[in-house]
Amino acid sequence: MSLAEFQRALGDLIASPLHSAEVAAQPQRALHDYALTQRERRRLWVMARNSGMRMNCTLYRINRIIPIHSVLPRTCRRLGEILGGVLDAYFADEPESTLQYLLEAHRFAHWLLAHPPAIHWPVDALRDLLTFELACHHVMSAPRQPPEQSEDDPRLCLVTLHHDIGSLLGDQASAPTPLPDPVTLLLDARGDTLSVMPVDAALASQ
Amino acid sequence: MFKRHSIGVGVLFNPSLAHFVEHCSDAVDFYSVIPERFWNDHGRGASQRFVPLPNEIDLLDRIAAKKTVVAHGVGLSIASASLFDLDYVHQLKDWQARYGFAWISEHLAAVRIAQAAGSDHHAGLALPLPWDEELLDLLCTRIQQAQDVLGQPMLFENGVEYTPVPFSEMSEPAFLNALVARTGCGVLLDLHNLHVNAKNLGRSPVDFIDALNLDAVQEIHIAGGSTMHGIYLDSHSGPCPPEVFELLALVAPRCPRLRGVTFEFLESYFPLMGDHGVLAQIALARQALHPSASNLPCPLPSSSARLAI
Repeated sequence: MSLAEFQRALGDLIASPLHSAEVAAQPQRALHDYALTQRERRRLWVMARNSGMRMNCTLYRINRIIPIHSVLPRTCRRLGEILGGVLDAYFADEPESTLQYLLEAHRFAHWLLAHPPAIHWPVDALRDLLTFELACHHVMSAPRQPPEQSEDDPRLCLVTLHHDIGSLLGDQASAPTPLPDPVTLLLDARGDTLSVMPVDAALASQ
Repeated sequence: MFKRHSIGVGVLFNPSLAHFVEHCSDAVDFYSVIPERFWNDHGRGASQRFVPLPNEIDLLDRIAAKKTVVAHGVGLSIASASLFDLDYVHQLKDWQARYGFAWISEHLAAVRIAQAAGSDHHAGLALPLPWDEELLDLLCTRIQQAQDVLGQPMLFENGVEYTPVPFSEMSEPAFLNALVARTGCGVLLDLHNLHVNAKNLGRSPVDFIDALNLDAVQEIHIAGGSTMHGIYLDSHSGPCPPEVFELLALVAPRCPRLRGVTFEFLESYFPLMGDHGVLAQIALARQALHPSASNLPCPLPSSSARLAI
């Protein structure tokens, strides 16, 4: 199991610049929880002190951000300057990385709602934005259906929001105000572009 | 289809090449495809682990109808000491039966780490490997098992390191040579990876090539990179640097079993190149393979697209 432990320790090092700095400064204490040989401890200490370790840590962050940003670009933009700190906290709480975009995005969305960020937005508005972006990704990545199955087409989806979609997606700094009544939108990705229509309007057009 | 013993030039498929596939396929001899692009892997232990992606499979069917396809896996993680994913190998075998890949390559890499709960998590990047007997023994057993399942030898690719594991028992080429000798596997020589290690670590690509058993090299990868915070990255960010074509011209004639040269780029960089830019890289690769025929024509694409050189 020694090589497996070495790889586990190295993975932890790459996932956390803070831990990497601890290993560089105090290897005995920082590597205490791993079943390593003396050579493996020495290897990790040398690697933690190597300037290239910063790039490993950076690449780890980039590769974890890509799935989140790909599915939730507007949410990331809304978080603005605090995005980095939010991601640090998320990575610390959820260290198990995955390249499954939708899984990582869903996990981040749930985490974000449980840890509301310090932005001038109510949690309900953030929930609406996350719901909308996850639904958009869902319909846009869904498989095409033969025409005879069009009623169950996974590229169609209904979402109910409590805020105006324009104010959720816009760049204005002020918080969106809740609508008097919730609105249901039809997301339709069957064509070349995604269309978003209020359900009543969609029904009227058919 | 290209002849079995000729050296083909191909491109690693990504979705930005959908138009290229339809209109410029005459310019390439094969497409390399990443099998993981065509299914969702819900992880070891999932009730339905590999879920096909119909849209992507439609595209792969069209590619395979036009050209030879080869498989370039990214998910086996064969050097992860904590797991060996034979289910993944069996999935690859099913797809090999379906598409008849001319060859199958993978990375000599550890990108997954098994968790106590039985699931895996992605390490975020390929972990640097210690070139030791311990890893060699582990890999030889696994590669033989994988090749038994697949019924054919696999190719394994040399990697990039930003922080090499110190105190290794052998060099990377010596390690690869031992792997080849003990398992019969082949080598996918990534020249851009050598270039990255040269830029960041000062390692000589020529020394690496001289130390490698070139009889084992069956595929070569070429790609471009970019610099971030003073470190040169294997970012596949567009055209290859001149040094990579120089290495290709140097090494290809010394690889008697070389079957293909593959240009790799990420789809996010496609707008910087377009079909013309990809065609230009294909033409430059052919020129490096045949320097005496400086005006060797690249097969013309079937559309109105023209080479940009």
